[in-house]
This record gives sequence, structure tokens and C-alpha cells, in this order.
Amino acid sequence: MTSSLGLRGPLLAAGVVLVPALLLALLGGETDARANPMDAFGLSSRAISMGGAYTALANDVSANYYNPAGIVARGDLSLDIGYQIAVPVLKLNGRNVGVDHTRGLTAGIVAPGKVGPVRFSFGVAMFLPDERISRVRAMPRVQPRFVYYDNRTQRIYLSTNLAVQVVPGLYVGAGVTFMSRTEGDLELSGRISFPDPEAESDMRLDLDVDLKALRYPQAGILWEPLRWLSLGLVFRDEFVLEMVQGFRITGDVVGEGGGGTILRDGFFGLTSLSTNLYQPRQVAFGIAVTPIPRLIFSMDVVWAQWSRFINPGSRLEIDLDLGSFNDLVDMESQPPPPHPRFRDTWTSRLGVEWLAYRSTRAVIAVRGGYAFEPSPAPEQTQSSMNLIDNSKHHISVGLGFSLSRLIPQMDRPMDIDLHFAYVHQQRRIHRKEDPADPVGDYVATGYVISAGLTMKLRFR
Amino acid sequence: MSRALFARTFCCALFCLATLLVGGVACGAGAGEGGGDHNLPSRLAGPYGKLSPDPDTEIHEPIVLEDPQGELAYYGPSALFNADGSYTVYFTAEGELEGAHIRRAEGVDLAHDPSDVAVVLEAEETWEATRVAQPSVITPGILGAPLGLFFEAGDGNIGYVESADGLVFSRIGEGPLLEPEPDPSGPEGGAGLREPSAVWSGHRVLLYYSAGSPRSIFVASVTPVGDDSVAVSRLDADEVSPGRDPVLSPSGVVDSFDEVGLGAPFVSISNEVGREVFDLWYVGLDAGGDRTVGFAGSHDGLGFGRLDQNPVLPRGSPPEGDPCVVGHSTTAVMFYTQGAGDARSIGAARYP
Repeated sequence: MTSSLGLRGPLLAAGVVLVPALLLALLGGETDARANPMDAFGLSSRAISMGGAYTALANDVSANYYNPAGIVARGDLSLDIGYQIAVPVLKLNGRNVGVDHTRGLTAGIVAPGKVGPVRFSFGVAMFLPDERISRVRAMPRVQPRFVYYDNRTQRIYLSTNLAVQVVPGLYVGAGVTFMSRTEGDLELSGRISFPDPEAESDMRLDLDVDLKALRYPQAGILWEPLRWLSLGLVFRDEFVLEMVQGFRITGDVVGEGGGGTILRDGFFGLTSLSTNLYQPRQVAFGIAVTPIPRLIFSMDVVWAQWSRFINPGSRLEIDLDLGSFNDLVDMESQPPPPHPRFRDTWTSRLGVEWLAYRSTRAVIAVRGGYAFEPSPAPEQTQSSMNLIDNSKHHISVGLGFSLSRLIPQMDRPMDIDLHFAYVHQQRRIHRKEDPADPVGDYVATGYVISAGLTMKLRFR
Repeated sequence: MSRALFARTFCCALFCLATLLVGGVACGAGAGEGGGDHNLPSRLAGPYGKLSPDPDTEIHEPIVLEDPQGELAYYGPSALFNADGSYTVYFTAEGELEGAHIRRAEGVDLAHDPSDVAVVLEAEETWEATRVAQPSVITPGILGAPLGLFFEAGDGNIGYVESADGLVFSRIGEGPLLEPEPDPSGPEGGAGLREPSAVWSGHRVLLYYSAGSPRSIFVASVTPVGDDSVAVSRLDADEVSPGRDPVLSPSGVVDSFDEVGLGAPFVSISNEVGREVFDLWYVGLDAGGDRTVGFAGSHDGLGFGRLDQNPVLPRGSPPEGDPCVVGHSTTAVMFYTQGAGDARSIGAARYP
């Protein structure tokens, strides 16, 4: 394809990418808090080092996350494997609260095919944490927590997609992402002696924990109208990971020393329902231009529907049957957790790639990126709520090495990409309205450092 | 190696690596304990748990300070934290024959008997009668000495002394710093002023004390005047309502721990976000005559709101009073008076 605008076209388009991105970065208000590990840290080193501005550039395995349509753009059989680690240092009142780091293997494949004239590709990408596949965790409702990170990045991620080429330069794709969900029940049954439960009790413990899959859809369009211009549009649906933990005691209460049955078939049940992870519905628009052959600019604007965020605080349900003793028990029901009053957010991302060195055997690319994620969370003034989040400035750099004929049998270069990213958490003050709030005022600050590498193999 | 063979080999290697990692995860290898809950902000309000009995220590937990001869009541602690991890505790020692005086215990570490106990202030002035008690220390003193000490004296006066070394104190001014109001119909009811607690707030010291009937908590401002005297003015906690109001009154709520009376305030100030936040621990008196410790907070030092989870020391005998809290970022130790009459001694409780 050739440009009808000549050199002015690419330069104008570069301006179209850069100017709005800078304006958005400068004028962006408060907001942020995302969910799964890919949302929080990104997938694959090239994309991360370009600030995550990858919706219009994604044409490799990472397109499984950034834009499903991109997996068919190249038509190669691609294999990716990598490793990435993110270390949060998040502080309240200047003290590190010890949010867990996230690290693990990234891997994926794109397999092309053709049915008649129609080209298609099937893709899979995954993030496999090497510390834990999933974690169940319920915290007191008022306990301060960084909602964006917290427990949210501690899980496996698997995305599968199918994309087709509509016409050359126009691709559509869709798929499903799987996340892990955990449910658990603990049941005690048997006989309890009274008044000394240690004396003649005979209880049996049953523990039943399930790791269940949960799915949400995503879809995307990738359009390359000109050789130097590509556009992408992606939709990722909302999903909610709820955690259900049950605790039940059933049995008889008996008097000591053959004192007879005091209560037959007594029952106490407690169920804790909490939102372990929330991902907002997202729409991302991306544009990428190549104003001169060795330079690529890309920009993403992402809308996230955080206004539907659900308070992760536990909701307790208590069920009790103590027979004739029921009248003696007065258990107040717990009010539901307050609405978190999160706001929708607009995130802007900007990336650049420069091919610094190019020969027949190797290409070296230097990359950089910046993103501003405003926080969707309001100032935490309520006494019963401490859902902490800061606006974030992402600064990333990376290197890419594309090595040709490294292995004689390979007819495509092998790519090795490295990235390093620093996410600055914008200082935020939370003042409590209640003068007797047990947590009190606090300042949230911190940063997240992440690094990783990705190796890409492609076959014709 | 053919291209297909290479691809298969690569896939096998990938599969093996993934299997190893999954196996590692299944075994819990490398997994942390689950963070995000360290060093969390807290007002250190409570609840506090009294020290548990420990046969390996010299003290009789939860009691950390008691008269070895069993003749004197020890009460009204005011503690300072030392660089070596121990506490210096100023407190009242009172006996039937010798009245009440103030002592200082050095090296209080919640495990051993104090390394040294010395008398630091005895009644000398007429207005002090035979009683100086309920110390409250501030650092530095209002007139520039390293240590200032407010105390209750005689029949409900409040006095102030300063010291360069914490042992020898000099009285400031001729008479008491604060006396009972002469008008018995005033907000303090002409009753004696008790249990002072002082804290620096900007360039002034806020002095909290209990007074009135029913007993409530009032506040006064103390500022330096020249090099050798101080000025005191009583503050109105609610300027909207007529008359001068206390900062906290009995709740009047049936069955609440502070239904009928309040006393023994202890106030500290934190400032994490550029505004002062006042923490007030106090003793509540219920309708049955039992007393224990509760917490209230304020953003201006005048209007206080109660903690929902009050009281912060469990209700029940023996009665507790005179709280004094020393915070350490996310943990705290509360010194308090346990018992009544001549059987009073000083205990300690921890948070969390």
C-alpha cells in the first residue's frame, strides 16, 4: 500500500497520535484500579516497554490480550515464552504495607490456517504465576487495601481467541479469557459436649474447596488502511470474581457424663460473600503510525467502566437453628458494605519504537512508553471503607533484538525483547470524616517496578 | 534438524518448563504468606489486651509497677519511651500516712522490675496540701526545659513544674496553674479539677482535665508568657451553644460503659496529612459504678466523637483507670491503673 498523502500524511498522523496523548496525559484527572495481572502489568516485553499502547500494533502472541484481531495479521506460526516480575512498594503514611509481588511465566501460541480464501488464526496466551495459581483471601471490611493490586494479580490468566482476515488489511477477532475462581466450604458435624466442649465432643471436619474457571469475552478489530497507519478497537467485557466461603456446624449438644441431649440437630451456618476481583468493561482505541521507516508511534485511549465497581468487603449471611434456644439468641444482621462510588476512567497510553540498528543478521530496537491511569477511587473519607488507589504514571523502556539465521533451520528471525517499567503512584491524601475513625487519616504513595523478557519464535 | 522437529522440540521444552512451574506452585514453593496487611495505618485506639501472666518474667502481669512492700497505692501513670526500648514512668505513690507524691520509675520494660524508682515531687505549697498526684509529662516544657510536668494538687488544683533532668523539678509561678471555678453554678460546678493531661498543639499546650458534676472532660490552653511564667485560658468546646462546654460528657446511654461519668483523660496528637488529629483515651463510669477505658477522637481538640467499638479495655473487675498510651507506629502500649483504693497498681496492655 502507498500513501496518498506522501510524507505529510505520516507526519500529520504522528501529530494526531502525539498531541492528544500528551494533552490527555497532562489534563487527566484522578482515577485507576484494574484487575487481572495483564491489566495491571501488561503482557509481553515489547508491549509493556511501549507503555501498553499496543491496540493498533498487536500482531503477535500478545494480541491475545491487546487485540484479538491482531493474531491473524502476520499469518505466521508464532510461539512466545517469557518471564515477568512486578514488585510493588506501596506505602501508607510512609510505611510499606507489603503488597505481594507478581511473577510468572508468560507463554502463548498463534497458529494460522486457511479455509478457501479466508485466512484465520487461533491464538492462546497465558500467564502462569510461579508462586500460586489462585489465592483465597477475605479481609476485614475496614482494613485498608490497595484495591488495584491487593489479591487481584495473584492468579492464572488464560486467553483464547480466533481471528479472521476480512480483506487484506482488515482483521476481526474475538475470544474468551479464563480466570480462576475459588470456592470453599468448611463443615463440622457431630456431637458437642456441654459445658466443657473438650470433654466428650466428637466432631468430624469436612473441607471442600473448588478452583473454578470463569470466563469473559473480548473482541477486536485491526485495520491497516495505509502502509504507515493502523487502527485498532477492542472491547473487553466486565467480569466479577466472587468468593464464597461457607462455615457450618451441625450436630447435637450433649451434657457431660451421659447428661442427655440438650439440643438435637442444632445448626449454625455462616457464609461470607466477597468480591475477590473485579474487572471493568473496557473499550480501547489505538492508533499506530510509522512516519519514517524506522520509527513507530502508537497511542491508546482506554475507557473503563469503573462506576460499576463492587465493594470487595465481605457480606456475611448467618443461619441458625438452636431449637428451643432460638429465642435466647439475638444476632444483628450486618449491613451491606457501602457503595464504593468509583468513577469511569479514561487512560491514555503512548509508545514509541525506533530501529536503532539494522543489518541482514540483526535488528536492534529501542522502545519507550508512557501512560497515565487516573484513579477511579474517590478519597476514602467514610469510616467503614478504605479502598485505596492512586493515579499512576507508567514509564517504560525496552530493547528488542531480532536475530536472523541464528538457527539455520529457522526461516524467520528470533526476537528477544526486554522491558523495564516504573509505575509511580501519585501521592494521595485520605482524610476521614469521623473524628473517631479507628484507621485515621493517611497518605498513600509508592511505586511498582516490573521487568521481564520475551522470546518469540516464528515459522512460516 | 528440520523446522518441524525444532518446533516440536521447542514445544516439548515449553511444556516441561510449565509442568515444573505448576508442580512448584502445587507444592507451594516460593509462595509468600500473602502481604498487603503490614504497617497499616491505625489510631491505636484499641482494643487493648492486658499482659498475660508469664512465669519467665519478674513482674506479675498485667501489673508492671507495684509497691514492693505493699503499703502504697501506685496509680496515674505518665510514660515516656526511651531509646533503649524501655519506658520512664511518672506515677503517683500514695499511702495513708504520707499523702500522695510523684515518683519516677526508670527502666520499665514490661518484663523486669524497674531499674530505679525515685521521688521527684512532693507537696510543699499550701495549695498542694499533702497531695501532688496524677502527673502528665510533656517534652519539652512550656518554658523551654527538657521536661514539663502537670499535676493534680490539694483539693482539685492543677500545678505545673519543669525539669532539666527529669528528677529535680522547679515550680512555675506562685500558685496553682488552674484552680476550681469560684462560681459553683459554672460549667465545672465549682468542683475540683482532676487528672490533667497535656499535649503540645502548635505553639500552645492543650490541658485536658476532668471536672463538674457529672464529671466531664474540659480543656484549657496554656501558653508561655515571657521567660518565667505561663498563661492559662479555659476553652469552650462548642462556641455555638451558650455557656462553656466540656469536650466530652457522659453518654447518658443506658448500659453504656460511660453512662454517668468521665475522667482521667489522656490525649495525644498525630499529624499524618497536614492536620492534627486528637486521640483521647478516657475512663468511663457506668451506672453500676464500674469503670473502664474508652476512646474518642477529634479534628480540632474541642469536639470529640466516640469510637463505635468502645470500650477499648474489656469491662469487668478489677476496675481500670488513668490510661496512658505510648504508640510505636502500628503498635502501642497502654499503662493504666488497676484496682481501687490502697490496692491500686499500674498495669500494661498491648495493641494489637
